[in-house]
Amino acid sequence: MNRRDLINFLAAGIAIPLAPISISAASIKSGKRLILVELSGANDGLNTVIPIKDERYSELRPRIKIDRSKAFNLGNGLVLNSAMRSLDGALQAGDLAIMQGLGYPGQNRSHFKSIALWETGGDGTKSGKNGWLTEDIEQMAGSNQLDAHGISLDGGMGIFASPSGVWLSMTSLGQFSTLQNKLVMPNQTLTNNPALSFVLDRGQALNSSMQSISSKLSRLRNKNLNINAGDFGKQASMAAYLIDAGISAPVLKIKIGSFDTHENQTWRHRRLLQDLSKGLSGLRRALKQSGHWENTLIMTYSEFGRRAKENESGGTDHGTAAPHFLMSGSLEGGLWGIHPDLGNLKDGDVQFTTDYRVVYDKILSDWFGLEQNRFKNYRSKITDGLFS
Amino acid sequence: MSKNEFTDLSAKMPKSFSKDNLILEVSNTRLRDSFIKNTLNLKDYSNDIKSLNAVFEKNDQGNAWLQKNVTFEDARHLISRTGIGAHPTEIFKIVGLTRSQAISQIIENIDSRVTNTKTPTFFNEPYPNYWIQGDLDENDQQKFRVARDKEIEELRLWWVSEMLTTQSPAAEKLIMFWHNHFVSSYSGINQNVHLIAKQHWTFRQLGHTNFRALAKAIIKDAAMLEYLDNKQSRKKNPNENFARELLELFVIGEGNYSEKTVKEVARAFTGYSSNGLRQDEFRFNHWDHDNGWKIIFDRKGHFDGDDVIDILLNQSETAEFITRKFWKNYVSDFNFNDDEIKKIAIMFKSSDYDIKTLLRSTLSSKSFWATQNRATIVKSPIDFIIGTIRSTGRLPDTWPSIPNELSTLGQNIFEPPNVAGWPGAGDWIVPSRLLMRRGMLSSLANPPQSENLNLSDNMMMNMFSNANMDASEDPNHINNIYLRYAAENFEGPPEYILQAIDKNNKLIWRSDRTKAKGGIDTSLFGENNNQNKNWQIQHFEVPGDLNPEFFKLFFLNDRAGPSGTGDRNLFIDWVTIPGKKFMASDGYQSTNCSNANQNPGALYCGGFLKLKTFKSLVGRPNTQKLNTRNYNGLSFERITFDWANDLKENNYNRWANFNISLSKPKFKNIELDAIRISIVRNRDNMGEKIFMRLEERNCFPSCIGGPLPRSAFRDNKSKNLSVNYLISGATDHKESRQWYDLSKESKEFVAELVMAIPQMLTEMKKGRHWKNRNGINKFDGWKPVFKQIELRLPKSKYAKTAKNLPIKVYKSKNNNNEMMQMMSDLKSVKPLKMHGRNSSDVSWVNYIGRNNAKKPAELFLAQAPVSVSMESQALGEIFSDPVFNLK
Repeated sequence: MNRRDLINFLAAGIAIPLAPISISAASIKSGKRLILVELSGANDGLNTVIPIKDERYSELRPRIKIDRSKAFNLGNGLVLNSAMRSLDGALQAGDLAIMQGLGYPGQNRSHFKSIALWETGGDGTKSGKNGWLTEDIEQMAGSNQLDAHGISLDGGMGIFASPSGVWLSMTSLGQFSTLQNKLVMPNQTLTNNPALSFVLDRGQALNSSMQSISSKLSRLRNKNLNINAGDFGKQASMAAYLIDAGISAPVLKIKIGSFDTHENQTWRHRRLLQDLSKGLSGLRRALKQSGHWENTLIMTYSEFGRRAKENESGGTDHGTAAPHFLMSGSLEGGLWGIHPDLGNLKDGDVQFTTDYRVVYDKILSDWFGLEQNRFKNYRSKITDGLFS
Repeated sequence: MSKNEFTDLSAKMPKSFSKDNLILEVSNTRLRDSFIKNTLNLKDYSNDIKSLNAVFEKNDQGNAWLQKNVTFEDARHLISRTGIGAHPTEIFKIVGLTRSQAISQIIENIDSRVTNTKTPTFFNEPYPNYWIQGDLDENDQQKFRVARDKEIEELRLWWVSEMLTTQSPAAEKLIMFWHNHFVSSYSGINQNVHLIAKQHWTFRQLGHTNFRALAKAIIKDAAMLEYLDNKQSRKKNPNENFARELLELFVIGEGNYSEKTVKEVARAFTGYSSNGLRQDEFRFNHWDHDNGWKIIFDRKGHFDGDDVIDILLNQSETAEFITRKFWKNYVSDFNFNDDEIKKIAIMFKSSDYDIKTLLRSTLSSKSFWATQNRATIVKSPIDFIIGTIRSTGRLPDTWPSIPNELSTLGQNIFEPPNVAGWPGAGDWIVPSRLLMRRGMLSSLANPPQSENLNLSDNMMMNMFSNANMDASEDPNHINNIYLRYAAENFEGPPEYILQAIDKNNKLIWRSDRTKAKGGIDTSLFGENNNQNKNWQIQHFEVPGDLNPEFFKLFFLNDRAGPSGTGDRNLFIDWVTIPGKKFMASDGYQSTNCSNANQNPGALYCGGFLKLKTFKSLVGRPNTQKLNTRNYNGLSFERITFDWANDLKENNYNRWANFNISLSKPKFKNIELDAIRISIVRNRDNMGEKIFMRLEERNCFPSCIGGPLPRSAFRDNKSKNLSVNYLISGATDHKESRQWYDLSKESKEFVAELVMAIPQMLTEMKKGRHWKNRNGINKFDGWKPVFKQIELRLPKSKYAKTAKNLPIKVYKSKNNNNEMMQMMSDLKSVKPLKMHGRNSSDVSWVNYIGRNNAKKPAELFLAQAPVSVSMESQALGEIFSDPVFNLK
């Protein structure tokens, strides 16, 4: 155990970890990257990936159902909302995978609480305290060479909650170059005060991150990576700039919202899905252009899905399971998992068919090569062959 | 010191704050005028503290380290660890005392029951009907939420002003400790700001008294029961969330109990809920409570929540668990001494969990004073910002944005990240937050001060009085114009011009080109999308007569960087002239970003805002009668469907209820907050009966304008009273007494209610509950019953008593009283007195550095600096030293 680890344990006031760090020693050198996309407010899965042939769908949603004419075919009796038309290219190229029926036992229907569960890998019986991938990413070999472990571009840091590691929040590209000069950190760190030693260590790590990031950004090759998709497009293009500038951070996070469509869902949802797919396809285009698409994985997540039955206000209320998107130049596209059965509703809600942590395990183990990760007990054959 | 000595010591200590009855007064507040009350009245309170201190001081004589005289460094350490920052006057006050005496001073001074600044205005406004929220349409729900969001901002700002000005910082520190121990959050309880405020008040009243009393108050705290899902915990399906966190995080600590214990404790808490129709006060739903045997730590009994607390407090792990948390808060984040922790825990337990004893024992430990533990706690954002301001004695005029700054640094008050609270220590300085700290250093070192922000009470009243009426004859008269705005800076602040224009579209006054103050630098901190803004009030004096029809405000220097690098924006709330308020949100806006014009007042781009319609502000704010309705018949603010039993053809249940809730029913002198009526259909041997039932627990403050008659039915378990008023079927002796026992006034009221049932059934269909709670389906089954009611009513005794005028429904006032709102807007810019002094006397420079031998670095740093010189005189430099993050 090196000094930094020791300090981290001291800081957290916790005991030494049970598994030796070397077990999960996947290397950071692979250059793999994950972009997390939060669909804030809870996306209505049933009007995103639609079981158009199921009569029960039109019965449940007489007013807000999506017409066949307003959708494009996914096979298996499912169609994708036509608001997502701009993702057709990715779909045709096999770069878009749809994970169906994701959820967890003991559904919590509070936005605040349920997003915290997704962020920390918890469920109805137990919430986690740290971000779901922070510990595993920090333990990857060579992770101390990174510019940062992760960067949030929307200000939200819940998913990066960690007592250690370099998890940054960056809401503007110029932010670090402006702040850089204000960091005063002596090079000598010899002190017998553990708290001070900790502060110095943090400060130095941060200093070198910022220096590296801002100098890389100042040498940006490609100046035209703007993505036109509202505020979400701004964040997506920031992600593209960071990647293009060669900033090494295995996790980036962006957000789009609000999907909390209790009323007049049809047009609101349509606009959100349009922005989402324009942003995602723009990101794909930009990353293909800069040669990073094969190494990048995009994953969406959200608090929960929405109630199967529409409400009386032309909207939907808080529900349970929902499908989510994975995109990359190196995955097997198409439909994955099982669409929830509309004939088997519980209290008006669909039941989840795959625990969302199956996907977390898949990403950690197969994308980042961290077999021995926090979610290994959720491993399931259902995702076999997802990453080509 | 041996264990026995501790026990002996504890026998000598006063026991008066360990009584269970402390809490009852708090949770049974039923007063109508304010939902928050100071009900705690500890007799001889200060005498008890004095004798506690005397016992300790005597005992301390045997401990050499506590007999040392307090040095400047010692004093600084003690003050900044127990309080918020350390101002030279606080420090010098205890220099030279023995350490034991200095601790006594801290302990004696802990009292948070009397607050320093005026409590938020919403404490004295009518309690909003949270239960009705779901029945409102989207627009009104939005207004409801906005009103709550404003209130939580006000609550945050108030607590911040309390922390800035308090003479008892150690007490505020304890409240913060409990807020971060018994965790609930505003977002986690459906934005119920009133419950959060009530919980805060519990900490304020009990946080420095006794842990048993505090724990017993918390298990009946509506915010907590909502936050940890206990409101829905029923015998048939206990919810373990609250039980688990109570054991793991609140009382005994992880590893000290089994999974079986969690289940048993959860059973003990079934039925612990709150009464939404009233003021969300605690309610024990005995019908949901599992009264069976439970086995908890080898004890067996029909335990309830109070019993659980008593049992847990008998376990030795409890005192140690709480003591360890105190240690982290007061002694060190990094160094632990298990032996000392154990000793303090024994002391804590043997004092029957007296919190002051725990604090005093912690501060008396050898470790607390040891050099190796100085500067080993990471400053929280509150220490970092408010502590620094208190230490320098220089209050920035941007202080109303402190809640935002705290949030930026990770400590959004009333919004801990999860039930475990803010983890503190290393979490306070994760890289993103460390960066933000850096960004704030310069404004902490050189706080922005403005010249004329002295809004006196007189000037405040100026805004309300209709002064320009009588002043028009006085040519020397000065009109005061106030503008409330907030800024976001990018390469400098926004600039604007304000114009007043009369009926004939003629310009009658214009301001100079003015720079906006208090703006946040968006290139450093990003755009401040969802947070509180740093609202400012700009005052203009205008001589002579002024009678504008509208105001126009021009945003002159819009500017933005490339995508995401920063933006200069201006936000306008209102403009006032004496007696009139012009709201930006009611205005019209034209800027070069057409898509940003739907939100008048938010100037994201250059252009102008026209503040057209005004509200008149007449007279003093009046909190007593906000809703005066002059109607002779029965009136309401809202009638909503609540729930109903299913009554389809084949349902032969004996009892069936159809419930309707009424908000603010009024008839003659009877004016109530809320009542629920049940239409009951009952089948028994005497055939079918239909009646209206009123239950005491579903009425606030009463069902009929006074107590229910003595003939009311009483439920043995809950003591809940109810009365039935027969509409159809055979009568019953007791039920007829319930009618004849009523006073004349109540009789009329009840008669009006019964007669109004058919009208209510129509009215309730307008709300959302009707749709969302499946009223339509239920209604079909009930049709025959309602038909029967309509048939019977004209011939009933109620028809003879009631006037039977049509009912009226008045739209409820969602927005608070305009003037109340403004009072609180203005309060936030009024100067505060720190350390009980005016701002000019209190600056640290008057006390340190010049004639005094102490150096600034010794005042502001908890140990010698590592990157700047000890001799440095520049605050900016001293604050940038890494040591500044520690205390």
